[in-house]
Amino acid sequence: MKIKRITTAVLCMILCCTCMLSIAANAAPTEHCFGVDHPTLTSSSALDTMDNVATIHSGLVSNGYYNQYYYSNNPSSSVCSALGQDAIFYINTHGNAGFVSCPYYNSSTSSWISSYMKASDINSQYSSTTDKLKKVRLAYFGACYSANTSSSYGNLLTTSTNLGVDCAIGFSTTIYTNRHVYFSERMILYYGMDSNNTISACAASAKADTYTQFGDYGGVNSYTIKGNGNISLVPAAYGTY
Amino acid sequence: MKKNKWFKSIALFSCLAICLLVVTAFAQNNTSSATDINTNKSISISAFAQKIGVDAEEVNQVGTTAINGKQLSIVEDAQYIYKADLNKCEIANMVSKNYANLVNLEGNVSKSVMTKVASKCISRYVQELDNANYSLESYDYINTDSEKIHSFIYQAATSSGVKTGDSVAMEFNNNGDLLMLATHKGNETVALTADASISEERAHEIALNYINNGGEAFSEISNCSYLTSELSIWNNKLVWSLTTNPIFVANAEYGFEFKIDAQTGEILFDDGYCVVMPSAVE
Repeated sequence: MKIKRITTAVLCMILCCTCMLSIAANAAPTEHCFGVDHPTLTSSSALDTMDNVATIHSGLVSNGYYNQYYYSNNPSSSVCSALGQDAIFYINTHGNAGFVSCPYYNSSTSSWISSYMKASDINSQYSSTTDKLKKVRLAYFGACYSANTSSSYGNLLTTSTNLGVDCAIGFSTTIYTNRHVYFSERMILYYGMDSNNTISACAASAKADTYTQFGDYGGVNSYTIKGNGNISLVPAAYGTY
Repeated sequence: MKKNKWFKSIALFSCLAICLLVVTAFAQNNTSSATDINTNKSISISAFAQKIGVDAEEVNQVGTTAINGKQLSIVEDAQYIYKADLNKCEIANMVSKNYANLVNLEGNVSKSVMTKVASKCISRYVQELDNANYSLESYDYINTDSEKIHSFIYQAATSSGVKTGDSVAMEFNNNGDLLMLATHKGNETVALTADASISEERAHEIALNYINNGGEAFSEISNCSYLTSELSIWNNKLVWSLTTNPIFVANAEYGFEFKIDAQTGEILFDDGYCVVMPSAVE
């Protein structure tokens, strides 16, 4: 009888802890980190950014943000849908003015499909919603020319911030992969996870460190901040409503 | 009575669970990359303060970090945050604490005026080299909605023209305020003594071969022009430093950069970019 009671109590305790931890985890502001792992250089989507994306994801989760996973090779529709759900959106891929590349593998046809998340897609998806992109504290578009305006698709940064993203970051020139990986990790994790640092200060310090590390910027000095660069990434929080 | 005991157990375990959550949350809030360290004013800080021209009382060491394989101190005064080797009194980089507010000042200062300011900053903040001199490699005026920056890059070369790998990047606003200074360490001795046993043409072949192995579309590229192709120092080795001009393949623009060991032909570092052409999207 006594053993039964103890067992019941232990089970209740485990259930209680699990529920509380689950509530705590789900209450944490969420993040989505997207990368690309394309196997060859034969298409315009060639890149492997998954180590970087895993590192950014892990650092954010350790500092109060939440997502069970990080993501590789998702179609643009999934990436665009995720953008509005989270406090932090991060993507490291190829791109150009007004869009980022989102290649994915179609297992039914055993082929790689190219898809692109355009600024105009973001506007179409969110402009008529109630919350638009107000949940988003930081949208980071890690791709060449991602800060520039396309006459066909618009501008990723201004579209995002006009829809309520607190702060959006992109690049106005080409960016070399390794230097950009270093820059992004210094900016978001090393400096960004210190509540004393604003996003603007983090970017400036990460730029200086990239130069000291490599002896040139590799294009990362062209980072462009739209919206409010004077906010901090921690304590973890959603965007300002 | 039984019920009472059961409730007591649940209450006890709930308390434990809450404690666990509080401790976890507290630990998370205290996770920070730049760790504060308590230091006395050491001789090296005093010497560093003297170098940057401020009183030792104004300078505080707030942490350490590693960049390019070197352990550096993070030091701050009223205006800047420095990363520096305090023992050698060498600044790895420094960034204005007020960067965001200073970066967007309107103005129209000429390149020649700003170059004089930049030269003074090199004398003040950058260690002089024994057998090489810094010269201006590039200047840009960046003028966007959010930034107005005079950007300088200085590189050091020996009298025979071999770059030592030492370089300095600086950014100023239109008021002449230094916003950022970053240095990269090279190696004068290697630049003075090492000879290249790999020719420039062979280095080009090695780079092209690497690009050709990048996939089917790249295999057909039979030659490629180079934006830069010069001897320099990378990680204490004499290297051929190559940057390709844009290569257009399969609806995309690619660029590559290589550091090729000038003694062995080994590729010590490579990097690249890719821009998707709008024609790929349509």
